[in-house]
Amino acid sequence: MLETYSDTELIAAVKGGNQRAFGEIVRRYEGTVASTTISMLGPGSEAEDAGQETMIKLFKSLDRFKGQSKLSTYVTRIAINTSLDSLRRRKKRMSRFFSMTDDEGTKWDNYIASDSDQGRDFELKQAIGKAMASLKPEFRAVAVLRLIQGFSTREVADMLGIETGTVLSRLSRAKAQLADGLREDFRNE
Amino acid sequence: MNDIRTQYLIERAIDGNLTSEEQQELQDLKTLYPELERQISAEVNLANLMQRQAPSSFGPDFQAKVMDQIAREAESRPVLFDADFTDRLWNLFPKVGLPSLGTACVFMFANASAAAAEIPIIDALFGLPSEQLQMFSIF
Repeated sequence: MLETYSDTELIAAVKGGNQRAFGEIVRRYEGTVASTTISMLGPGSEAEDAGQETMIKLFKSLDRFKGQSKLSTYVTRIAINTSLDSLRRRKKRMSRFFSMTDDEGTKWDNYIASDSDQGRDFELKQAIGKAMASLKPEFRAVAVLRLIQGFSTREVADMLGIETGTVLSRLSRAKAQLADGLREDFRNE
Repeated sequence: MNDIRTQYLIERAIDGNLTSEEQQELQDLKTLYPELERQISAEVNLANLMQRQAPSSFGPDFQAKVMDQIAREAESRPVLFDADFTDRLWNLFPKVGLPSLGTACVFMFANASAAAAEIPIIDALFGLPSEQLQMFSIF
């Protein structure tokens, strides 16, 4: 029954105290949140924790959500900012001990190794994951929002609170770095 | 071809949002730089590839974990007038409530007496003999 509700109807139901309606929102937007936090933080418990934190923040802020933007945009905004906060905390915690990129590379190796599909997709996922991990957080955020989530450059600028020109220059550099990373990865095989 | 304007036109082209002027501008750029066509197609392919390969789930228990966390947070939220709070308030009554009530009564009676005797309340409280404290006059 709840599956047939629109986002607006679900939000109204949650505001009216129906927690099952929020369960449906979680089911509907898990994919969006997962692709955002895992692409930002690498696979593992940190990304899942950020995903849960995103959903809890969404639940707590639904009263203030007036519907000026689509729910998918609102959820993604929370997810990307939660991921950036996690990266800042991680940087403080770990930068003295070892390189973040190496750590994420290992995470992607483990994640891919646990994937039952070991074909062409396996290599691609691994290469993309590592290429993303090599980007600085601010470039990675732009790449995730634009390339993976498909938001326009203006929407990306709004979500991150930066100028459209900054988004375009970061995007251009991120794409070049990603393409280089992927080329390098496949050349080595 | 990595200047901001060209990148802007490429992004608009990918979204299919080019105005006719922008379309013409991009066409001119392609004529000037033939490799631009290949760059645009490479960027579209990169975005498609990344979208296809992006992880799309945290696993089967994610929804249950979130709902469980929400339920736990709701339980642990402090209720203003819970049983413990009422008990603590009631235990405070002999120590704070009763003396306060007593003091308030003394002031009330003294005030009534002072008004009846047309004297300042401070005299009624500390300076006058008891017959002038007509404290029951208010009843």
